[in-house]
Amino acid sequence: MNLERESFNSLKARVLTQTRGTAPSTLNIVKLSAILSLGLAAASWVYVIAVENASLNEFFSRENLTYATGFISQMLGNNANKPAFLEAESWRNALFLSYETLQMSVLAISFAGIGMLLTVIPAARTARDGSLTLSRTWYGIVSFFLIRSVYTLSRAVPELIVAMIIVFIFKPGILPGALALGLHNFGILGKLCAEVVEDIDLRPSRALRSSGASTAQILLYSILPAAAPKFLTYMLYRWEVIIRTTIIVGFVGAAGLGRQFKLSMSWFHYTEVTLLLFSYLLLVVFVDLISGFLRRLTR
Amino acid sequence: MLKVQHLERHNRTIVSLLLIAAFVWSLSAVEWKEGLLHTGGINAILKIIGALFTPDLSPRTLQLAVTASWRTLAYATTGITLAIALALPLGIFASGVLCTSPAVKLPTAGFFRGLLGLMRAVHELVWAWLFVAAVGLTPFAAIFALAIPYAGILGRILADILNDVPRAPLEALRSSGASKLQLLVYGYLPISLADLISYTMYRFECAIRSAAIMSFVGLGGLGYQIQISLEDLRYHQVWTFIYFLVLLVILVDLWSNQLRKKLVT
Amino acid sequence: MKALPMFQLNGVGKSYGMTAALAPLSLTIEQGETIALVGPSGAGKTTLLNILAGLIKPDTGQVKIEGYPPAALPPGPKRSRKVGIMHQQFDLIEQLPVIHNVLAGRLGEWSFFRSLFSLLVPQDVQLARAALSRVGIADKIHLRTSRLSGGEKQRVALARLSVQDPKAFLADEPVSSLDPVRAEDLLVMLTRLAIEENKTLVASLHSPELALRYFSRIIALRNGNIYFDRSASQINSEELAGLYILEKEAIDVESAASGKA
Repeated sequence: MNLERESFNSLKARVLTQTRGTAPSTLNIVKLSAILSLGLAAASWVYVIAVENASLNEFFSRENLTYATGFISQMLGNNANKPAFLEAESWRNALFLSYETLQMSVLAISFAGIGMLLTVIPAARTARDGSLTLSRTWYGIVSFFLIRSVYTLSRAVPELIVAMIIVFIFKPGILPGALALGLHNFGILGKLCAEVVEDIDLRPSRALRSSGASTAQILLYSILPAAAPKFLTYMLYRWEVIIRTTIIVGFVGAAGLGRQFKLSMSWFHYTEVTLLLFSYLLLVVFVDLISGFLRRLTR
Repeated sequence: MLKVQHLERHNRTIVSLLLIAAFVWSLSAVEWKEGLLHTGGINAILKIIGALFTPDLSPRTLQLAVTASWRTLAYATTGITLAIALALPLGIFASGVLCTSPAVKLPTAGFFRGLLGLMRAVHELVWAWLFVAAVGLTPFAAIFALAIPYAGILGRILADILNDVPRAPLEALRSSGASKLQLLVYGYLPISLADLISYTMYRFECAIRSAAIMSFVGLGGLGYQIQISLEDLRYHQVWTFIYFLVLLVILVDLWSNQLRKKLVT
Repeated sequence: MKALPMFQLNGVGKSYGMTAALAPLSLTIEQGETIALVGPSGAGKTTLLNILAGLIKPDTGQVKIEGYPPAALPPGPKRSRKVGIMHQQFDLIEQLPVIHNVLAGRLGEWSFFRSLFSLLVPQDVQLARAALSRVGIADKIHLRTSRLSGGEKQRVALARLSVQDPKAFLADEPVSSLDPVRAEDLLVMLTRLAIEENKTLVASLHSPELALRYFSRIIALRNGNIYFDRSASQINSEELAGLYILEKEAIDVESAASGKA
């Protein structure tokens, strides 16, 4: 999750370079945003409380406290004959599901990464205006806008909704889940990595061009080597996010921990829910560790 | 020096090979033999893609989409405001800037960092489901489910930013007699405010998507409309609602980009 | 009854690792004196100022600030009433408007809630305005501090110091990042403020000419030792020049000594 910060900082640096040179104009947008956000917050709370009847008293009522403690004690295995988290068979099952979930996350980030790699070059602003490959073409301009709108669309649609659509087409299993996760993250990864390409130092490419390299050769020898470490960093960062989301696409029929979580919930097997949540947390920590390790290895 | 570079090269190759191996391993999990598609799956996909360019723009659907968008936006906003309210104290404690002695600082900062980590490790929809199972679906269950993981993320970022604040201006404040709390409001917070605002705006965009998928536990809004239109096989309507969601996300994205430009410079 | 000396140093020394930043030295600074610390960089000026401000503890010797040991003046109002310090990088909160940076000098006196409230409705505005007009930038009171020039920022730091109203002003290279004209302006303001309000002023400076022109007493440091310490009227320019030339010889002597050993 460190990367959260890293990608944010690079974003900040980009904004800085983009706006450098513009005069420090009025504070208007800041004031406007303050008013807008306060207004939005006020309107939203009023709506939620007045129209949707949200009540904090009701939420923290004595009744709810009884329900909640009951739920938690059920999760902890009170009044169950044998809590699932004490059974070897359930553990074996949970570990297998975790393994499956891990596979789904790897498949998802692979799909997103491959999709990104295939599209990222034309999606860079520097490719559109021709400064990246030193050739400006009409199809370059068209593909820039086309790819960028695909990125935006897939970024804006949440994984769960993509998954709901995909299970219409694919049989339940790892593949639809990985596709749904992959598609959403393809958009995010594409945007992040296109910005990496835009930030690449162009002088080496020009040198190559003047020594007679073709566009493809410039890509292979100058642009990809410069961008690859950042690409890998972003992919690892998105992988950390994906592992947290695998459980969600499982809810709508993809495989793994999420599907079992849904089933256990609907059968009120709450001790199983506890076990699954525990495995899920372990998996999240495991992936964070692996990703951190790989990042250090390539640094 | 040469040796280090050599090792690094080596590392890159190892990582690339590992990634390819991982991809192949993950492909092995797919059950290729039994067929991947539903019968009629191809038909469905063609219909869905066909509807992409002809969303349902009838007044009734549009009206439904507008109210659903507002609902999603309202839940995202309430969720993120509550998240900010939770993240402020938690993040400040997790940064340890209020502690004087390292003997107190290390355990408290560690505890709060751990707490924030746990809050964000669990996905908002899982929180939502646990709340619904425990106390039923109430608006506050949805708001808290959103707010908890987002407070975890925002609190963590707040702690990191506070720890990165330059020391010299703070020392100057201390020498003019400021207490730890005064240092916070006159030093730490004003210095990091711009960063915090732009990061929170970015998270607000994510909160809209999260609010939309709360439909899965029954919360109304765009996600809910998409879900019922899908169940009724009204693909044209599905796209209308998806386009509204995209529009909402893009609007917030534009807003936060404009604001960020102003704040960062 | 004669007032207690503002600062009394008795055998005060400080070293960082193997290098001695300040050889044990003794020094008395009376109330109301305006003192310039001069000497080449690395002579121990900043270390001495930070010891006077109570920011660092000396390894040996005793410090008395108006009769109190620094330990008896914990950070907070007790210390901020005695000494205030300004640094060469101004060290302001750039993101806050000027007024809050000036009023930050009052933080030691204010309760937490008053200081929080002041961010919304500034307290003691008259005080801040008066301090800013004395340094000539009353018109910048509501500007964001990051918009100011270096010279203006240093004036804000000075206004903060005057609002803090300690008995002694300490200034670490207050003019080193300013151009010569602005530097003189600031020194005029700083010394006038100190003299009019009967403050003790200790400032470290790079330029011996400026020191002679604006301060009553000059303390010259070299390699952590006091090279000379006398009133400005008794110093001739050869002595000052010697301060900087001797630096090289001192190194030669030292290396010769270590060569022998």
